[in-house]
Formats: sequence, C-alpha cells, structure tokens
Amino acid sequence: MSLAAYRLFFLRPFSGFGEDMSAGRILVVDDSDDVRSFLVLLLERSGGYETLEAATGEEAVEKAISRRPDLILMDIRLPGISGVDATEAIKNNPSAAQIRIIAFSALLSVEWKQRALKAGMVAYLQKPVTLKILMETIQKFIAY
Amino acid sequence: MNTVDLERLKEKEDAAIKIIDSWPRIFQLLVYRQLYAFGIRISNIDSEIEKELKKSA
Repeated sequence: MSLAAYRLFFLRPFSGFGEDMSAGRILVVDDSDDVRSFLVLLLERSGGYETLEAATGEEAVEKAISRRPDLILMDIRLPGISGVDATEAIKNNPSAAQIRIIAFSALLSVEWKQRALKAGMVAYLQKPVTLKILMETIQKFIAY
Repeated sequence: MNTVDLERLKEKEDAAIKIIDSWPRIFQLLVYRQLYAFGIRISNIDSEIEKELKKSA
C-alpha cells in the first residue's frame, strides 16, 4: 500500500491539535526508509507528535544528544552499532540519559529483549503491534 | 504537552477497516500485509485474512 493510500484512511490530523500544539518530540530510528516514513507519518498525523529521524545507531546517538527528543522509538537491528549499543551510548551521556527509549523490533530473541531492557530501554514492543498498543505505550512513557 | 486521543484513533481505525473490508480480498491482503511489514497489526480483522497474514509472515 502506498503511503498516500494509508494517509487517506488513517492519517488525517485530529482537529483537537492546533498547528503549534505538539504532543511531544519523538526520534524514530529504523534503517528502512519505508518503515521510518510510515512511522513518522503515523506519529505526526495520528498522534500529533513532532518527529526526528535516524537511519543508524550512530545517527540516533548524535540526534539524541543534539536535539534532545522526549522519547526514542528504536529498532534493534541496525547497520553499524545496534539499537541496544546506541541506547547504552545515549544513557552514558549525561545530557541525554533521561530520554525514554522504546524498542520497536521484529526480533523475537529473549536475549535481545533482556539486553535492551538492561541497556536502559523502558519497553520492548515486538512487531507487529496494534496501533492501540503502540500509541498507548508511547503516550505512557512520553508523559512519564 | 498535548495527549493523544486514543478513543478517536480507535474510531478512525474501525472506520478504515470497515472500508477496507468491503474491498476484494486480494486488496485487503495487500493492505494488511503492508501494515504488517511496517510493524502494525490491525485488530479485529477477518480471521481468515489474519490466518493468511500469519502464514506469509
């Protein structure tokens, strides 16, 4: 399905949000351009969030420190350093350590899940998830 | 900071599913399979479609 078709059904903005009202700023980290674009559209149009994007773990660390998002939605398997390594790097930086990071990955491995939580991620969402669970989890931790 | 209206989101999702469910099966499968690939599972879809999605996942 094209993003244009998806936008037709799911992504009309809620009238409750004014143009200058944001529900928070989220950094979306995924190496797939399509997945990233989709999540950005979803979060901006359906959630009213402001978004930033990163395609690699290194870029995620750089943007987390320089742009200070409220929350990061992080894929685990990434080119270069993994999402878990990127999380450790962010948590080790005093200016970004407080940012909540949610894993959003198709990886089934219990070991990766444990590593993600040990690195400081607050939740592990295993793809695919329902819209409700995705948005509820984001809302829970962005307002925490 | 604003909050997301989850009830409204669910209403919109349900309305979209209603439209998609009126489409030919092959188009329904295409839509739901693509959403799966993006990491999103739509709840309350036809059980036969869901079975086919799981088979091809």
